[in-house]
Amino acid sequence: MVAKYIILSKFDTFRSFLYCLPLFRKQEVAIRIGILTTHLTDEEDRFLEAGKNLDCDVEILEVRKFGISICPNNPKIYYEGQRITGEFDAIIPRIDPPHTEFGFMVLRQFQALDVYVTDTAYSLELCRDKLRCLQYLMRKNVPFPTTGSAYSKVDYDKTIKTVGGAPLIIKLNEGTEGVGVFLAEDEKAAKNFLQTFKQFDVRVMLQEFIKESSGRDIRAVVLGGKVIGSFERTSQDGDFRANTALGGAVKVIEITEEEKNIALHATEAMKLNMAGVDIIRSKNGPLIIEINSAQDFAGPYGVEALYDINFAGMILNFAIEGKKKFDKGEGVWLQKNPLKA
Amino acid sequence: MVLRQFQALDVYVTDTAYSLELCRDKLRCLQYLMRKNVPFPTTGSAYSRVGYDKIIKTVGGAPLIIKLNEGTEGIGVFLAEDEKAAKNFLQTFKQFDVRIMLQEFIKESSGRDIRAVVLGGKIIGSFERVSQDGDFRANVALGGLTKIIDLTDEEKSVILHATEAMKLNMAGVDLVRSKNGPLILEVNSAQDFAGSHLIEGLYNIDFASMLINFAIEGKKKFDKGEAVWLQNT
Repeated sequence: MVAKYIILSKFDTFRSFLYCLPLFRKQEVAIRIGILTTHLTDEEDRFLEAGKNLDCDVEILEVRKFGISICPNNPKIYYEGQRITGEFDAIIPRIDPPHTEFGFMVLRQFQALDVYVTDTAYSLELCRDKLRCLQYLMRKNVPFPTTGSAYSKVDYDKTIKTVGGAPLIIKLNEGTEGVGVFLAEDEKAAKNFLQTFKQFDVRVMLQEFIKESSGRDIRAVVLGGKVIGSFERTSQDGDFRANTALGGAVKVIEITEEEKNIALHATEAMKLNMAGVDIIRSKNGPLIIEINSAQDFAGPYGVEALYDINFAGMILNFAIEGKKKFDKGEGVWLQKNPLKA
Repeated sequence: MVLRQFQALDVYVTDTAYSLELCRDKLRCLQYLMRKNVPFPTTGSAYSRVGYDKIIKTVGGAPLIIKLNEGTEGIGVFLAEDEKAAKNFLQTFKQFDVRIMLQEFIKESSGRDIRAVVLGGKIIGSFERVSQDGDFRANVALGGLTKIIDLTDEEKSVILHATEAMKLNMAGVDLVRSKNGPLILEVNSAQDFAGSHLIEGLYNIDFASMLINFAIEGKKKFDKGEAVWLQNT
């Protein structure tokens, strides 16, 4: 590039000037994708591997190495002390606790710089708080187990009654991998949880316990408004939680049209391109339990192994296509509406 | 803070801020009792995940009790039925920097414990609390019923040993009867005594006056230069 610039400058200073502009350089350089991550896991390795076979450069960006500067009309991002200006064409966020707040902050900064992101900080934040997510889904008429929350003691009874009495589920509004999810066998136990967590200003919610699906749930993997795969997770030791992190076994499962529809309806409501939607089968039909924005897909229990697909490559391709549409001024989100198709 | 300020002004206090603070944190209290050889259920605590298995094993495995280090009236006391549930508690509370401890579950005394009311090195009364609804917690605040009960000499000596260790004049000592003898659960410095189901009602005594009398006598001794604590053992 430098050589080209020098030779050209001898003939035509105007053309060489054009070559310096990013707009004209773009055709020659592959799309540069940054994976904005809070943890280095197998998924990040898979992105690097998949990127080699695609027309893109993949770089892993660790949230903890970022610095940002916020001035009116002058957003700046620093990575390992170096200023980042136009180095990335697309950002794929993979943000998990405990650095979520900082991760969202960096992602918002990229958005402020008009960099294409596969999912926006707003959607990811909506998902992070399970109660807030459900309040959002409620307005979009997506079915989920009755859920309640109460601050003061006088309201506990009413809320417990609302979710169908004990046994019931107690969930941290912000929890992952089954940590912070408890089964309260009776009302007194439920109140003990409520009072204890209130003492520490930890927000929890009560949720109807769907007995018939205790210890099992379904994960539907969604990418760009399509269900890529679905599998059932079953607890192996009588635990009511089926999370693989807690030893739940996974098995590919066919989901019904209705289940597909609510999974896509939910991701559309949250305006999420990439999501792992957890569904349980109740006697009144499928219910959404939660939507995960940074799901694991590598490893023996991930969608890649179960379906023998290159999901990391699919995500990168989605980002490449998304970036092209983004440049044409098409919406970041939802390129294809599955419900209208 | 205010109490310490009174102490700084050399005002006689029936119990010192130091003793009360020791009691407030249950784990710290037990560590103190441990050194004084007072029996209590095996208790453990661990910060990081690698320590969890070992600690669960130490307290005799599941089911076990999870307790906030600083909790009252049975709030923040949970029964973890299995090891996974125990780890869920540990990880959840760790996330919010809340200190909790694991404690051996004394099955044979589930849903019942004994409260001994101590004043100035004497046991004023003792009553048993029994949970009425299958709850493993017997706290009165949670609906446990109370009944006067006689203590054995061993229990009495354990109780007084504990309050002496904590240098507390006024205390409500909770203990359970395990198959290996009495075990101290906790030492409360600010117990409730009014009401029909508590010490005043059960024994038909004027405990408040006894406290005030104790303070009057204590003040006299204090002025003579005798120790604030322990006037009477």
